[in-house]
Amino acid sequence: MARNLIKAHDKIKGLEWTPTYFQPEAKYQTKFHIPKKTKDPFRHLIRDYMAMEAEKDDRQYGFLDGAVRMDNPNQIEPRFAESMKAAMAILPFAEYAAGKCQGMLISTVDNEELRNGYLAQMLDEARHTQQEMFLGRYFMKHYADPAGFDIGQKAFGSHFLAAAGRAFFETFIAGDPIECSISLQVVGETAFTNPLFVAFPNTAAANGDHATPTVFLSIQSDEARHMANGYATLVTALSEDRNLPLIQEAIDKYFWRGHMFIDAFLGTLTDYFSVNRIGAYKDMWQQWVMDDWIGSFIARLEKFGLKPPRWLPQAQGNIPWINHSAAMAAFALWPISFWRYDPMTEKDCAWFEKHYPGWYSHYGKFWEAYRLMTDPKQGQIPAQLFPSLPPLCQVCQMPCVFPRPDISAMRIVDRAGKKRAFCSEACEWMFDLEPQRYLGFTNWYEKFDGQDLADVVTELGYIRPDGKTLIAQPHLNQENMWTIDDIRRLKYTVKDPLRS
Amino acid sequence: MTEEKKIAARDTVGMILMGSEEADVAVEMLREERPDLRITKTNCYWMIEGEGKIEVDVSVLGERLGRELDVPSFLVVMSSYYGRAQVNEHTFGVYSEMLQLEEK
Repeated sequence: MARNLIKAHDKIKGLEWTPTYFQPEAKYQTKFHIPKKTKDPFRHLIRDYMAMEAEKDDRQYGFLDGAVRMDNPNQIEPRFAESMKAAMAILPFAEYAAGKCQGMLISTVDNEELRNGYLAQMLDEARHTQQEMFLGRYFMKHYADPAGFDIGQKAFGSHFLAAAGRAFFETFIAGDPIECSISLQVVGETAFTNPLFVAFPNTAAANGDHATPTVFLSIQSDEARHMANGYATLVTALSEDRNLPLIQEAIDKYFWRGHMFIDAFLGTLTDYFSVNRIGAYKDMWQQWVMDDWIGSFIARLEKFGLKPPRWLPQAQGNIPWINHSAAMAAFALWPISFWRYDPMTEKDCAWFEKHYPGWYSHYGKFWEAYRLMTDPKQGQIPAQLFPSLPPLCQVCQMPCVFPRPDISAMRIVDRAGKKRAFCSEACEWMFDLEPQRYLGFTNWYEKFDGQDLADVVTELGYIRPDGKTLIAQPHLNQENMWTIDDIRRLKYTVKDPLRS
Repeated sequence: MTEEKKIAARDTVGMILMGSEEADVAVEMLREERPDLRITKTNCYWMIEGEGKIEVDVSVLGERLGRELDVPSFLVVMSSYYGRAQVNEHTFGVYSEMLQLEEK
């Protein structure tokens, strides 16, 4: 006789017991009041879960085996394949942090249904870390230019902009466990994994990459359950009126943090690393974040006392420009990356102007100049076009160039005896809420201030096995590749803009 | 600079099915059952959107596939959704209702 899922789930719940011989101590403090009563919408049963995940893995790894036989890694647009060097370096840490967050939640939330969901999510996150590491390995072994895939996990920790990714993903594990759940499950997974693991694979497939959609859509099938974990946690917290201001503040903070890193990063990968574009990132954001997350979820919570994120209007103002400003900062400092950049051509520029009206007047001259600087014989990098490097935000660690350098919301203020930069009013507000959380951060400029760029690249280890050719290149050609000697000839000194 | 484009709460929900045999048959079934749904195919997934709810009866889907299918097996290809998800004995659904909060 077939097993009845609902009865089995109810039976499993009844197996939990509270030991009388042991008084558990709270490992993590929480400001939230969490009632015991709630439901797991996915009715997780570990036996079913394991069979389901085994099937997912069989399908995914089977495809990757076939993809090698089809030589799919070398049918990908190289411009797009380079973007995966950044993505595969950054994402595994997010998965690790998400898994660790589940341990915090299991320890904090006294509800057997939710704990079952958190347990499955913890296993999922370990699976995702392995999937992403495997995808990086797949590219490293089979793509024509593996340099960069091999050092991703090490290089991620020291990269100029990847630090901002780590700073956002650390909000999954730093602080109150329920706040971490809101950052991870309610904001990160419900608002931003659809653009990342659904929309981005569509872009990947358009650019000839069928491995990334296979892996990412499989990951997202787990994220679907994580969204439900977040929803169940949220509604449990919402059932206590005392929690309302705490939930609101957490949504205000973490929506902004997610927006600043993910929209800049993913918007750059989508628009600037595609040859075959299926749409503009700002339109994807409108669909997945505004219409689906805000319209079909957050706005429906208003009658329960929650408002849309406080900084949503500022995010809406950023969206037409954020990835263009981020891309300009990243491409300008191309030598300190571990992937190659393909210059935006006149055709690309026309696409940008069509989809982001006004784009050319703000960014067009940069790309005209960039195209003239790709040959090492020219002896110039685009960063030299600017009087100084942009300060990095003390909170989100992004360069303070948003929404655009000419209308940047940056503010430089004295805090704790030192000049500090904030990219926006939102990040300054967050700093003032918890200054101790952000004061310990030593940014990339402070580390390398006064050093020659060639010494910085050498120290970072962003050099190919021949010992002289840079991993990063400002173009995709196999000829005219820049070496460390070309960088040394620039006589370019890294200067902390807050000291100069 | 900041132009607020306020979005009102809406009843729209969506389900994303990874390109697969199960998804193709589910789409065929949903097109018959719910002609009001908006269904689009991309390079790698199906996007199914509609008002109020989208439900897939997995046992009926299994009959169409010619093999037994339970909800966890269907979830292998159910990549994502927006709205509120709910697993039942033979169905997977996405609902506009704020489940648990609006339950009477």
